[in-house]
Amino acid sequence: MKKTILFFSIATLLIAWYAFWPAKEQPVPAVYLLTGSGQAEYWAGIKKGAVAAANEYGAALQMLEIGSSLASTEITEISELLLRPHQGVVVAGALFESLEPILRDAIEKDIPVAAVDSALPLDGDYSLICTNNRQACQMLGRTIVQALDGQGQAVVVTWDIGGSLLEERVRYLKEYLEQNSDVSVVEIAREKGIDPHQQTKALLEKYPEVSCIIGLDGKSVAGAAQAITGLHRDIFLFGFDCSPEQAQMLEDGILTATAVQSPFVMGYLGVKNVLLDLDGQDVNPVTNTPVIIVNKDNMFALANQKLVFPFE
Amino acid sequence: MLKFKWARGSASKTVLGLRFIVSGVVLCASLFAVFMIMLAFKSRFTEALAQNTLRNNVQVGTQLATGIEDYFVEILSVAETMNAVMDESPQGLMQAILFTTRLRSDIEAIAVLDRFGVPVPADPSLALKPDVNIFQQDWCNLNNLHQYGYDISMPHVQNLFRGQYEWVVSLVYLSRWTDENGVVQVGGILVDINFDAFNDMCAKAAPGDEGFVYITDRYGNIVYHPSQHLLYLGLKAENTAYYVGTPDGSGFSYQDGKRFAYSVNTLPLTGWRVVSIDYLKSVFTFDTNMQHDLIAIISVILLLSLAIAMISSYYITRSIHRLTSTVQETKNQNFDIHMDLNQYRIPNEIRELARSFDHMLGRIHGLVAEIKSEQQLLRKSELKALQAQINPHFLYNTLDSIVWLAESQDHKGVTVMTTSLADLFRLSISSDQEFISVADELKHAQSYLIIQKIRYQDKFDYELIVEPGAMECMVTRILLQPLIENAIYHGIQRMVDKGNITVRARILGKHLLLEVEDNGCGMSGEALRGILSSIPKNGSGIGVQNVHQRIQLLFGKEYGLEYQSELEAGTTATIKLPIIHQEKNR
Repeated sequence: MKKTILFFSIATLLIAWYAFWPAKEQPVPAVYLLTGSGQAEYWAGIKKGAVAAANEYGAALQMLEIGSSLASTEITEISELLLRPHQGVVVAGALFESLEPILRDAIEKDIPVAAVDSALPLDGDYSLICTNNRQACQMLGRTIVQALDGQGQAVVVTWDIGGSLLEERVRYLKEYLEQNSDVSVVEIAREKGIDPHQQTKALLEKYPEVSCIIGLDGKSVAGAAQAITGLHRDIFLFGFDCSPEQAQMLEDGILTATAVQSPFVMGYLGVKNVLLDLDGQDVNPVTNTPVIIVNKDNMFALANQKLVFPFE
Repeated sequence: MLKFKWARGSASKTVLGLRFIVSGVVLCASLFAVFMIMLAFKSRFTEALAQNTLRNNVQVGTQLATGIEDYFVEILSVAETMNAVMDESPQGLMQAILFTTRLRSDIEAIAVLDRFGVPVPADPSLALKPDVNIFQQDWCNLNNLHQYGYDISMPHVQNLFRGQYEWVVSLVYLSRWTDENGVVQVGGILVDINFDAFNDMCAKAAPGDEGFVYITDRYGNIVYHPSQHLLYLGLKAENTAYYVGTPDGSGFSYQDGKRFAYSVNTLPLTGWRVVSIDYLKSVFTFDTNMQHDLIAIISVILLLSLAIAMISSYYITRSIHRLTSTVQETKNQNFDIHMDLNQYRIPNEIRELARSFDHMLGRIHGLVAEIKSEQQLLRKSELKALQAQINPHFLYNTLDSIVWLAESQDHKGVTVMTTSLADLFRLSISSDQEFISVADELKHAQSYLIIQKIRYQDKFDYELIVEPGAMECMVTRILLQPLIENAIYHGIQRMVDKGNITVRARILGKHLLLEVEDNGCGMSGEALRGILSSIPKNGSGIGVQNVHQRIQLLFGKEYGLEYQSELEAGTTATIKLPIIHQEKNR
């Protein structure tokens, strides 16, 4: 009898303990999105995509804007933030050198990492979401060849992209132009941070035969457009990305064509991949995002305007 | 009392097994009942929930369809108003446009189109692009315009004004007005609806937690979807083709193994279709908190079921257990048990069984007592028979001897013999006690020896040897006399020389030994075997055999009489008895 009473007392206590103990909530997965501070339009697209994915999958999203140089205390703070369980990291844009050790640590500790737009110069398991640069450059190259009628000189200008992304775009463009036309790239302005307007003017003076300018990012396209406006030279301007400013340039005929990527899709897939990884699902190591070439005539086509003018 | 035991040993296995079975059956039955109730609950409430979801879904879909329809009617009336203003006072048109666009945040822009579809500059704050022809845009359906007098476009980016790339839904209204020269002009009025505003209006309609509404044109192209951006960029997919060409209505369908309620409404003005989807929740789909509570409730139900099972099994098996205990007691020959029938109230069958068993026990107890009494009577009668057997035979011989002594004037001999005879009879007949002391038994034996010694004219001598402790022991009556008689008749009588009889009483271990030893002619092995087992030839053996039987009847097979004999050397008869003191006898 004593044993029975003991058994029922213990069972009742256990049930009571269980009933009044708060239910363990599933931890909400968290994703840290690290972006650069320049190219506002581009980062904004990535952030919107990341937010959309976080909402879609019920995750908490934290966004950190990383400057070009970081103090050691900031690195420690970021490291403490990132290296925790149930969360992942999405790195957008070019690599921040100061973050390298943190990202290496994160990958070693099996924290899901996704790189958006540019590959990380790190060995290890992470997913890369980017435009297929070879394909984008080939498509843009084809447009250039058509516009220039297969011959001419071209210069390449850039503002804030560098590293592997810059090299890839230059290499693939040159490769296509050399193989398919007589268009020659006479100079590539690799140095970052120089005003594209002045840079383009200098290049045009240096190369009077140049009939084509290729801007590798939004700001260099804007600077180049400013430089060629009012010049009495037939100069074709090509670029990457499409801000409302660039859209207006397309309409005005200043910008001949531009390769439009979708930062929204990149941000979205970056967060999605990290969350799938956290959930233990297989994630593709490389995912290519769509790219289209738009010009004045096709920019308002229903299929293109979805990518060129994303919803706010 | 309630015992939390299922097996205690082989003796009670049946009862405990029964308790286990009863508990198990009750527990299973309660769990089964709970399960069946939940099952019934599930099927009944799942369907009710599904119907409820469908009703709600239809209501939400219809409300949104009505809302959008009313909204476009309103926008059409705006266009009609503009047309009327143009007709009545072309000068007031600009004010009307400004007034309307400022009043209504949902209207992005209003433009008047000439007969070719080219916007006429009206609002100077908006930089109208040159060379734009609305009628030539992809999104403008001229067929609709001619057939219905208006066209409502799919969402698109408006490209009328410099530096502005807003997503809009455009209404193009075919207008007619009379100019100042009285000529009827034909053209159009464009009303751009801010897509964000349209989006907000649609987003308010949500059928449930997982439900959503989307709108397509008649061909399945998305007009509105909560994840429109993701659909446009190919990040998500929606099976819009499923409802193309289907009539309006509602029902249930499956997608990816999930059942959902749908409703489809077609908008008459646009031909758009409002599709409302709501996934059905199972009655047993709970969030973490509800799962937690449910586990706690099920645990309580299980615990209660177990308690009920144990209590009910206890009450059902308690009577059987008691009855079994009673049966166990009868194994020890104890039939003097009275069963309290008040303890056997539940169940009735066991009560009846207990009543019958109690009756049977009473009967057995009575029979056993009867048998015991009969056995006692038998023994007494046997004893009496023995006594009766001894007395006349011996009395005749003794009296004969006394006569003989008297005739030979041996007065002393007569006195001794008569006194001894009197002592002999006093001890054997007058006492009712079954047990007497060894001293009395020896006295009895001595009286007999005196009588026989006189009778046999000093043919033998005798001696009595008693250990001090043996004297107080109790023995059954008349044990030694038949043995002495046997020693005289079979040992001494035939001797040529004078014989000797020794009577001993001693204690060996836990036993009392009474011995009668003679140095007579002894017995052969055959005679020895016959003396205790078969009927002796001359009848004197009856007494010896009687002694052996009485001892064994009273004390068991390990006690009794043993003979040792050697021809021409003598015989020793030994009686082995338990040591009984006087107190025990009482």
